[in-house]
Amino acid sequence: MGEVTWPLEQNVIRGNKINHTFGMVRTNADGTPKPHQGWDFKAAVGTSAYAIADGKIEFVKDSGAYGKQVCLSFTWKNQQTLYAFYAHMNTIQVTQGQQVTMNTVLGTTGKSGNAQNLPASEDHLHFEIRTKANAGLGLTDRLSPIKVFGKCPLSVVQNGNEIITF
Amino acid sequence: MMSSLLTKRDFTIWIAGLLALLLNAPFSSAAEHAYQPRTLATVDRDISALGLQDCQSIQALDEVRHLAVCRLADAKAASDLYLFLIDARQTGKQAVLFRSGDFGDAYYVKVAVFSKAQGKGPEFILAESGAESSYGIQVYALDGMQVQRVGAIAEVLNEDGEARSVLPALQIQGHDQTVVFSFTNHVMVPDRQGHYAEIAPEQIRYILDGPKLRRVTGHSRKTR
Repeated sequence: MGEVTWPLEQNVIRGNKINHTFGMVRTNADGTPKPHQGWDFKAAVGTSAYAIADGKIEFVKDSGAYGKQVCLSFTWKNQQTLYAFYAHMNTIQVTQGQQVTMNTVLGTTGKSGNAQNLPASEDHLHFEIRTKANAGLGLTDRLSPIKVFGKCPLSVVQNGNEIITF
Repeated sequence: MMSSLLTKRDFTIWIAGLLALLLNAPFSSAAEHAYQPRTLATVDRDISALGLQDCQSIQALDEVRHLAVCRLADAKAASDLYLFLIDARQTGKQAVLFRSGDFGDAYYVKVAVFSKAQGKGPEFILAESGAESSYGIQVYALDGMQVQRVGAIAEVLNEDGEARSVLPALQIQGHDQTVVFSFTNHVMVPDRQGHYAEIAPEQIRYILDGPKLRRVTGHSRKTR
């Protein structure tokens, strides 16, 4: 992958469902589409989460819907600054302003913020790629992580064959 | 005559004030019909016999009616969330008087009930749901043991960079056969591409004068 690596040792989209990828993939009670700002990686509480690249910890927060959050800035393709955002964490082992290298443990995944309401079978790491550390609402100031990773770890089975979707 | 008494700026302000008064006339003239949020007691009971599990809340409207937000116990996979009206006097599945449609991909559903400060009439159940951001509010009319969905309010508040519940900025007022849902602050309107636009409170309201909520907007809108 070169400049970036995955945030977990095992990286699988939660439930193998497209609802947990990036974009207008969520559904509201009345059937209207709603945005999901990143990817949900299946992760039991306590799973180590790693820095996807060399970079700097822009902020560490514990508030609101995201709960415990870490935002890592990194340089993408030697030109653009992007931000890897980790949410619903259980513990955070880095501090604001800290320089980290790829694969540094940032903390452990959890179910803080609004994820506290989910059953254990839905435990996950909420992971975003942002173009601004403090992004706007919805999909504003965000990219699909597929732009950085090059593929999405989501597989679907059709006619008995597993297909990796992009 | 007026122009001799007022400057051009004063006149503009006076006209703007008059327009605001006219636009808000249905609200201000019906202050005695303001709806207020009710305080609901939390109920500690096992309702697994009703086929429900993972309840996020069970609250008492009174001695015979409970409102619950739960998942279905008999679902193959993790069930979505539903809102239930339960007859507290019964114990079997027949105790479920109303089950909403599912709340889709929401992680949570928070329920508030508004009733008239004075007089009779239906109450409103406001079910705010969301995941990392608020999905808005589903609105139900509650009349005795009957619940009917009347619509949805999609707007949210922009707080601390998150799309949060609009409930703190929502006011409900009745006027004759009309109920008006309006906002006390600027709110964010979602579009179908995942972005939001800000709208001033005087530019938007929801009106219930029939079976369904009607969304009524003004003209000016500022993109943020």
